[in-house]
Amino acid sequence: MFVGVHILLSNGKQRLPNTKQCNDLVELARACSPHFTIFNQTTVVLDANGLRGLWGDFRAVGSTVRRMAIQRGIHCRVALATTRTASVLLAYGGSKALTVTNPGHEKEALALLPLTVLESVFSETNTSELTEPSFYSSRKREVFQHAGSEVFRAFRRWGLSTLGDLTALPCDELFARLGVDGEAWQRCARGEDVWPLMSVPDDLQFKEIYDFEWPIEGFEPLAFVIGQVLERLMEKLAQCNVAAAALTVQCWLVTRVYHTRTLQLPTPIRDPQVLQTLLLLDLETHPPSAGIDRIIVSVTPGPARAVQFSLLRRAFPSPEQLSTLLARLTTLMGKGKCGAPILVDSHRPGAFDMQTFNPNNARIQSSVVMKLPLVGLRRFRCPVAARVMTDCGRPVQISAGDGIGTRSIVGCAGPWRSSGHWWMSRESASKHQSVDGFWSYDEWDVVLSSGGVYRIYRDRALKAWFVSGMMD
Amino acid sequence: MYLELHTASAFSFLDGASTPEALVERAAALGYSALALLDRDGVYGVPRFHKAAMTAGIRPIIGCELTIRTDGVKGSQANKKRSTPLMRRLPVLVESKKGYRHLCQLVTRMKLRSPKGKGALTLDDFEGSTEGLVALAGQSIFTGYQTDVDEVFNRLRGLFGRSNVYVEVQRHLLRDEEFQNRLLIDLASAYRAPVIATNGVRFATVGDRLLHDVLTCVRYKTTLDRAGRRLTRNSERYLKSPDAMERLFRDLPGALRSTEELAGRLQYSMNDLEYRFPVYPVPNGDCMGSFLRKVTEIGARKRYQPYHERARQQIARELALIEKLDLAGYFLIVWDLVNFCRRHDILVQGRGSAANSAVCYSLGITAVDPVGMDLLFERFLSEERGEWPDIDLDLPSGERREQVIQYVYERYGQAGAAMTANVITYRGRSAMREVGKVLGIDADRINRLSKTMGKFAWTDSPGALASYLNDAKSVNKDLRVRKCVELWQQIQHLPRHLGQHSGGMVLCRGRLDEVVPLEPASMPGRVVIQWDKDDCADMGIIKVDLLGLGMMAVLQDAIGMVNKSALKDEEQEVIPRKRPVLDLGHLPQNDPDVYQMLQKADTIGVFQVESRAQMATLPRLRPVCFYDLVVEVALIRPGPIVGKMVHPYLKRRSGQAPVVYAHPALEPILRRTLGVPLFQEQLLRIAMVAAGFSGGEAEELRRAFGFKRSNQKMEQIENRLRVGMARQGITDKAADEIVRSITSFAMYGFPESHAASFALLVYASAYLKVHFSTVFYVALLNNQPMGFYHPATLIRDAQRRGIKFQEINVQRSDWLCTVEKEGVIRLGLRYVLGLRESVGQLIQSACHSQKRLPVCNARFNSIDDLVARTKIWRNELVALAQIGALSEFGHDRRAALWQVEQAIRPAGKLFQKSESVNQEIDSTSPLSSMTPMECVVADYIGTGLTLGPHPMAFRRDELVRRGVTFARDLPKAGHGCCVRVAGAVVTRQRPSTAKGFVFLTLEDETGLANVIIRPDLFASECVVITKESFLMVEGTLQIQERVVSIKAERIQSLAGDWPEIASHDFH
Repeated sequence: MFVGVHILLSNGKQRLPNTKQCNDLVELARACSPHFTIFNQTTVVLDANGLRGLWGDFRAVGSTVRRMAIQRGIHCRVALATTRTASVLLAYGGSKALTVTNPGHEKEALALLPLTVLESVFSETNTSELTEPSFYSSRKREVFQHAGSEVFRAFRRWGLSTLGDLTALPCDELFARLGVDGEAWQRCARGEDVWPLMSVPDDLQFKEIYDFEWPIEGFEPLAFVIGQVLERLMEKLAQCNVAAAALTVQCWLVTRVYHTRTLQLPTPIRDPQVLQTLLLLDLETHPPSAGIDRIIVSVTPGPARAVQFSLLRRAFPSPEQLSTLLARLTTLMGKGKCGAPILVDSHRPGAFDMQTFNPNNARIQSSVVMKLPLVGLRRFRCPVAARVMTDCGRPVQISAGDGIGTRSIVGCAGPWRSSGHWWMSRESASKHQSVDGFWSYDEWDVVLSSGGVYRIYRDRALKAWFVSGMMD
Repeated sequence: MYLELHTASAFSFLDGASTPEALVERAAALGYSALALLDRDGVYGVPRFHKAAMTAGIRPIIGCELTIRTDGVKGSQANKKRSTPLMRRLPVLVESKKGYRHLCQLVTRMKLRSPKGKGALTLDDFEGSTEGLVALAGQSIFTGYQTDVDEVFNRLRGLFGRSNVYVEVQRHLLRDEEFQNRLLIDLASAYRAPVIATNGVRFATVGDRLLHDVLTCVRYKTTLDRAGRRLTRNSERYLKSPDAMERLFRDLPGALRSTEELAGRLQYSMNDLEYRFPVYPVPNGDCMGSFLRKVTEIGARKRYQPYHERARQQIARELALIEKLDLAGYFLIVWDLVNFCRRHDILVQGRGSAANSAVCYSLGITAVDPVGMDLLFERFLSEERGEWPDIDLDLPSGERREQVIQYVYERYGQAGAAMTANVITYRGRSAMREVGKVLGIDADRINRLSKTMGKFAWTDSPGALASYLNDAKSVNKDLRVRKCVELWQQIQHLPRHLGQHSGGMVLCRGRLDEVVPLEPASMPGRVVIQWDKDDCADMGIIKVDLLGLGMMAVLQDAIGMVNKSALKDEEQEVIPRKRPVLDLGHLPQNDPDVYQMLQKADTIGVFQVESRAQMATLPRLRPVCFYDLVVEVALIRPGPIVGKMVHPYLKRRSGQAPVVYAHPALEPILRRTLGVPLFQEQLLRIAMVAAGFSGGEAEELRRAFGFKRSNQKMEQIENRLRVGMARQGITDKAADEIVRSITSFAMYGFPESHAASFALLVYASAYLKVHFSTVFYVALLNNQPMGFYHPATLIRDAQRRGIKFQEINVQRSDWLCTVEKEGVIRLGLRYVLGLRESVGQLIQSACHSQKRLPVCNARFNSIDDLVARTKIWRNELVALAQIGALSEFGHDRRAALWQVEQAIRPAGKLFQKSESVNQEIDSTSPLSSMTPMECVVADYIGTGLTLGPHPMAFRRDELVRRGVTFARDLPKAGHGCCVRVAGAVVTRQRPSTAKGFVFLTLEDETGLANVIIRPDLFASECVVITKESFLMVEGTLQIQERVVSIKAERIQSLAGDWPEIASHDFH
């Protein structure tokens, strides 16, 4: 016998259960029997054969399951039948809170159920959790559902309203019209099983919780505890031949709030020391606001990395070393100030962005080297404020810091005008944003009396002059 | 002095941000004496540019930026990338008539041989087509590789001639551009070629750069945040003053001088356009004028019986003017088109102002007697106006209209005829969505904004705009949204792309592609010119509108069916009749039955007067003669409604209000319409009499009414009107009334002649409905979609008139609906949803198989036979089975559905060759038959209509218990009493002129009920009203002058398993 358990949604507007309700249902099934399958988001099937010894006859088994469900706050309908399909259909579409069908009477018990029950049971199927029916073992779930909808359209056209109407159709003639699909649905309507029970395995969790005896505030004790926690976690990962793809630490603070940090690792890592360093560097940059009562460290597993070194390629530092270095530099410089510079598609003079440093992308193409200009511009970051005297709009004298001093301009070219981002306010730009707000510059290339060649510009909006760089 | 010789307008489609008018206005303000317009790959904006420039006193110079494709140069550096062709732009300027002809031909050549927007010329295409053109070789020839430049430049000099290629330099304050300028100057110096300075203008003022950036994003289908370097680097491509350009090119005085020298050479003007209307071939010894006189005389004698003196005088006057204006050929060509239609049995009728002409009436072009109706000929043609007359022909929509269009192509050649374009402009909500999307505003916010913007016209005063913006919270806080609103205003009416006009055709003697470039239309076999109908009018190009009208097709089909059946009867008569039984031109006048039907507003299916508003007006207007129909057609229009002319007219007509005139001088003009202006002609006359407008000014007024870009003009004209009226002593209330009546016509107003033409169709369709109702409904059903109602409503209406229908049957139904013996209408296969026409035609043309004949005169022996001979698809066969179309095979609907599943299943290789077609199939089915309600639901699913009982009939007992009144019993209830009605929603209307009121039409098994919903009730029950198919309404009954309606107080959906019924919604 099998026990079908179907959640009854109390809220009339709710068509599907929420995640909590789904999880509760699975937990209930797990608590009742190690041998169960998730049929869809609202229904599970348990193998009741081993439960009679524990809880009595099948009706008692059904009652116990229902009682356990109520204890867990699950409002559900329970049905017992000799086939999984019948138990599911009766649990889904039956009228009683507990239905127990005598063996061999499944067809009669199902006959009065509306045909929509059969369709709904399968349309609510969660593809990630539903085991594949054997009669479609060679097809994909989508094909099954598509064929199902086609077949049910034909059923509706034929005026079939109950499972009994469907089972009453001559099987061979149904096969002649709808082929194997029609026949399979008819078998389902009779309550026959058309797929085997595939149990849900226990899920694996990589999570460690550590409660402190008193709140800690310094990083030193935290580092000690985190190191221990990570070592235990890494052992677990090693047993499963996986590595950490992401690492999350939740610090339960004395202020009764969680301080959560998640590290997306560049490559799956299983070295506890590296992970400890990364985590502590991140917590240093984003420290918790109060003392910590408890820490929860969880790991998202990923396939363990296999490294194949090559004689023909330059050996790069290992990802562990590199990510540690980059984390240290980011902590030192601040976010957005460490990485590899890239050009941005913008007319804004000197516009660039930073991306994560990746040694594989950092190789310079030889053709690019060939096209480098003969004269190079060394940009000042940040531009140096200057005072410029003009004659008929052309600059004739400049005073600026950074060793430029006050010089007369002996030659100039310009102005080279550029403006853009008019749809952004100037104030919206932050220092670290790659895309700044509105700008409007007049650039000049000037030769000073000292012989130096500089690029200066006038910010037309600020009405101020700056030196943006010098020519090599 | 510097002159700008390189300017592009918004007619470069997404590569220019100012209209030609804006550019000209700016140029005039800057003191330019000449300006050149070079739009990309076309002369789309030239007519408007020419007109604006002539008005502003600037000499317009015509040119074009041509896209050219050049291949890599042989023998140069071996570079694989060189094999890909390079796209460059070559600006050319027109020097002479010949140059303009060459330019048009070059553009046509480019456009016609490539998909839309992909065309490019090669340098070889210029061979022999460069005389009269001057090329500007500028930065665009540097596209790609510098080593090509010499070769391309050399080639250009060879093609255009040494003196006709200028090296063009532009300065937009860009570093790399200046580098290229150095190379260009070196090139010019090496070849001793003249250098010319231009600014490559893309917008009129600096501020327009924002809009240009937006348009660039639209072109590249991106947002401003992602556009990057595809946007302009700065705002320097605006129209700069000559002084500014002289400062910019101080170091190149020769380049500045060249502009003046070259402009001096470019003397071509669009006034020199060599357009000639085709010559009509006349018999020997006749000229076109004398031939027109002859054919008019013959026609007039037929039309006017007797041919009275007034008609003679009018025709003589018109012919004299036509000859004076040399328009005889035009009339003969239209007459030729009408004759073609007659020869090929295609119904045709002229509409619009042509109905004001007795010559057109005599030639059979129009069907309204302008002499009898005292119509104003000058509205159609006047010497003072100096433009071609406009004759619009209404044709049956569909294939027959296409037949006439193809005749025009055949008669005047592919190069001599083309469709006019329709310039699609940015407008309203769609413009807001496009601008918002480019600015990266999220979709929800764009929707909210576009809805807010939709509330007001963009020409509203700035104060009104500000108040609306305040209503739309947070608009002013966000810079992007503020910019969005500004740009939305700026982008209004800017050209976006070119479409095809619905029916306007231009004809030309010789080659049309020498007058205006031609482009391929999206419809195969069609070409369009680059100008729209107003541009054609401005350029003096004659246009004939061949417009498709669904009702013409209905009338033609119905008359054909009547005459055909009469012919069959006639075969048995000894002396056959000479004339057909029914002729549109000879319908009995003033048929009392027709007017009786119209007075009762029993007008479903009747042309123009079937809408809710028209039906509500008919019982109040109570038409008794043809002119009443003319008034009825013109009365229910946005113009008269907004102008508040409807109720005054109806009250005056029923004697409830006295006939008064705003000013005694208006009495002769408004006497026929009881002192209320209803027609355009009356408004023109009012402007002339009350405000002292000349004929020309009145004509300007008229064009502003019908012209898309008239909003700004309207304000100017209103001021002039008021000043003129004040001079005549008309002020205060009278002046306000006149102004309101005139300006309201800006929305929509009918000319009297046009209303008269439409009234003829109203009368004809009403006549058919009264006297030949069966064929009328068949024709209506065969020409759907058209009109105001869904076919299901038409069928219900026909059934209420006692007409019998037979359901669709594959053994008997044709593709179209047909009349069977005893006047029963057999529904056609076209109503089976999802059935392909090709299959329907195969079913229609199938002859019965010789092997077995189980059913007498049957087309198919069995379902298998049907499947084998028509290759019908599964879903089509299921649809046929579901609606009972396979009933003659001995199956009810369910049994048929059971059988088709087997019949349509592939037999497999083993049984493919067996004669399954003739196998006996067990017709028994294990399925139960459909209930009547299931049949109705299946009918609606399969055909969208049913011949069975109305769905409401199945619930009538319950509805009676709930106190629901039959629709037919509503007039029996008293005015003001509370009623409850229920039914299927047939139409939903929320006209812009009704201040938010919504009008519903509910249908039950006894008829229609009209419901009026207040705006607040609509707001609270919006979802129910717009989504539910069946509604129950409680409200107060209003019976005013035989017009019955329910003012809704409470609305709810009618719960139950109702079929999906389609409604015609206008909201």
